[in-house]
Amino acid sequence: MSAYRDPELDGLGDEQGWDPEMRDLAHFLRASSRAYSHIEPSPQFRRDLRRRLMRAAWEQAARPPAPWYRRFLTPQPMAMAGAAIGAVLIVAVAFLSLGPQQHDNVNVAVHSPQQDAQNLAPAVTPIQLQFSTPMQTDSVQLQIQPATLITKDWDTQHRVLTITPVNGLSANTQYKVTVTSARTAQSQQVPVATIRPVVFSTGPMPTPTPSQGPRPTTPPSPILSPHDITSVASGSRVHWSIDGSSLYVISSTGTLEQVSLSGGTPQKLADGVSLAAVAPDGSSVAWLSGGQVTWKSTIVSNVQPIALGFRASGLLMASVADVETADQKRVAGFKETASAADFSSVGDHVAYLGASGLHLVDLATGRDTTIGPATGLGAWSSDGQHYAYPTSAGVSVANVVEGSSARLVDLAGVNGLSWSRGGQILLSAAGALYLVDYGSTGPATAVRLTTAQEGTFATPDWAPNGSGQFSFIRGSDVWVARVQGAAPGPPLITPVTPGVTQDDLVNSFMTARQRALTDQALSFLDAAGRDAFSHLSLVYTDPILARYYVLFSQPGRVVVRLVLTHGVVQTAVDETLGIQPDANNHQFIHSVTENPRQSFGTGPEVVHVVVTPAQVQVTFDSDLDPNSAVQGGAVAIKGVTTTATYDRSSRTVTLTVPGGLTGTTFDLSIGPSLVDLSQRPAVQYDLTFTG
Amino acid sequence: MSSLPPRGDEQALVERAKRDPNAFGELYDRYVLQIYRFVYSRVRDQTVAEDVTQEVFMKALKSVGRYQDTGKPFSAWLYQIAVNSVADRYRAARPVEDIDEQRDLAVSGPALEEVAAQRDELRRIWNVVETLPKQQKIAMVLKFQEDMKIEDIAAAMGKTPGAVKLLIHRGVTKVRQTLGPDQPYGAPAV
Repeated sequence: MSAYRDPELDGLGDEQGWDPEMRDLAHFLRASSRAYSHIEPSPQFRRDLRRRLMRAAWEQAARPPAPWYRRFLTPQPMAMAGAAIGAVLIVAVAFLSLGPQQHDNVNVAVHSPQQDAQNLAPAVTPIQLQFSTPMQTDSVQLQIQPATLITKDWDTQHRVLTITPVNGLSANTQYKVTVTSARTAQSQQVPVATIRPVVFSTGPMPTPTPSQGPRPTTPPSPILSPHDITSVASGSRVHWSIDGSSLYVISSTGTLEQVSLSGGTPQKLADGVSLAAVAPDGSSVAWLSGGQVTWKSTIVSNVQPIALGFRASGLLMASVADVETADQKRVAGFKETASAADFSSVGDHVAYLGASGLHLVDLATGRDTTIGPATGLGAWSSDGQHYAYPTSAGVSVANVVEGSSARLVDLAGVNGLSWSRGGQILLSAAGALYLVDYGSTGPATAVRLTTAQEGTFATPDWAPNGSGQFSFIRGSDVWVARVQGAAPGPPLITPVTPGVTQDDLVNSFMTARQRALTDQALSFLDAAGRDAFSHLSLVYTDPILARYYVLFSQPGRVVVRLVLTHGVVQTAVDETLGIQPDANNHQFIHSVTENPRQSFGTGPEVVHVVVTPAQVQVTFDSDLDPNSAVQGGAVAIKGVTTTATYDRSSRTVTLTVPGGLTGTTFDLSIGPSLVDLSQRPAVQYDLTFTG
Repeated sequence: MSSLPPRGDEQALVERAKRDPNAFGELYDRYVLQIYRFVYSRVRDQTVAEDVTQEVFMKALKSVGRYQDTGKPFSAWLYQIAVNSVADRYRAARPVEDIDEQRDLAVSGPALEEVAAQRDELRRIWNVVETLPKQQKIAMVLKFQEDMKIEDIAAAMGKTPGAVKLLIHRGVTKVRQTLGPDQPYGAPAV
């Protein structure tokens, strides 16, 4: 019982005429004020939430105060002013009915196709502004942030303004185009404050991959070096390990095994298995055995899932009726009874077959979209935005966002599909193997790869490591082969990927964080790295990690800028990642220091720094005032005499060091004397690097 | 148990946070634990409790500029947000079922079992509390678990102090009726 009595409870007891037993019960209940005293949020949660709050507070404080009319419309002043307004309205109505109406100002709406797009390609030009009424072209003045040198061109109706950035747009950058003054063709002044600025972002620079170039389609690519791996259970699915070195198979006796492609004894994982799935980071496997799902230390009993999947927070199980988490909380329900299901790699969608055919379910919103007739399940594209599936006439591709579907190729009897990260789809039909380029110009064609003499091929599955290998079922065995000239696409990078570069490692780590794949992101960290990140946010939810770019990279050290957005409000944090190899010479992220970028976006920002033995090249997001770019101190290496040149086309300042930079630590400094074309000064920025 | 800070000190802090949201951090530090515990006691799930706690403080940060000091502790306002957020959470998750109708909340959760390992009686009583109508249960939790004053509970629940007293009275009466007579309430429980 509590050590002291509560006078308030005694008072309540007096009022309600409680007898001594009721009073004792009340005070006994009060002793349970300690029932949850041992419950505490995890320190990391407390720290993370505080950081999120402080970031939100900073953004809130940075926002301009609400206009007077908004403040006026808040409840208290509204109530106080209510009576007065009533009186004024009576007078005003009488006045307006007598006086002439003024039409000095007109409302003009501006729309841009860019603002509806997400992460435009950096090279995208031009930008279009569509005005709701013809304009006096000379009167329209614009401001673009970051500062960008542009040319302007009007259509003949004077309603569409085409803006062409002279030097293109900077990658990974949020742009804001504001109309600062405008008059209509009838010379009426437009209150520009009412015109919503056009805001859009550019994506990262595209990485050239084999899929970007022309692809060989004729003659058919031969199948290279097929070899038998092991026997498998009829109808079971084979899963690749992330590094492409082994396969997870369910044997004909129901044993889940990991079989190395290089031979050796298979590693037995479990018996009686009827379903399995590999986590996206390759670190774990989940399986169903005897009505029990096992995944790492998690065991879920008395379930009969038809598919297993993963998302950031853990395991997903699809049943005939719905999708649940490992603790059996319902994520989404199915409109129709499902006979088979297939999760996207990041676990944000699931495809299933119901009575009406294929359905796609958005697991964030629960929206179940009926796509239409399908003869089986198919394959997700690597970005999870499309789902290719077989129909009686061929293969169709469903668009997840639009909920629409379009025929890709005509080909009867398709019974297996696999979509490479390079955008090529392997199909099996009537024992033969076909290759289809998705996204190639012109109508897609299914190119036959195999002949009857080469045997029968079914259920092909690309290896995720970009090796061009694929598995397939022939008879009761799983085989592995290669497709010559295939475009398997970039491999899934993990720390154990052979020959992985530091930049690829960091990019893959950052992509996992951007896609909120916590487990996958954690797989890039060693023990010290995990400890370091325990104090920081690995995955951002609000604000979100909208973009990132590698500012600077030297062996063992990478500086990454994270751009965090909440709506159109953006802030930035620079993380310095230390990279260190483990005993097996696999590189892991070992340390991190974080440095919030103050006043991000208020002036020209550095987007990339390259250090060579005799030069330091600093690239900016804004078109710079050329004079300020080369003047002493604007961009400088502390204590080192340099000469600066500015290349307008790439927005790059190059510092040349006559004696060269060797073996020492240097400090690159950018000061406020550097200004952009709008004369906005750079916010102080410092970067330490070694020669 | 709530340990309320001096009112003057709290008022000054809230006023500072209204002018400068960056000062909100101190309010967060002061109240995060008790709000989290309250939310946890309602949802019995660490992940959900964290989500809801985050929601409570995010909402509080956005609205602190409009907070009006009515003489009640600032925590009463936070509890009000928390009560609504928990209700919203379950409304969004299961539109048909009420939080009180959910079996996993109506039976003893693992946390309570841990605590009650040596306090079976208390656990038995709180199991009964969990079956009470929602308003009675919230009033009981805020009074007995959070040790709040009736006036502050009224502020948090948007009711009059008299209505809160009635909810508590009915709740305690119902618990007693359910448990039956001659219960050992007087025995030391802690």
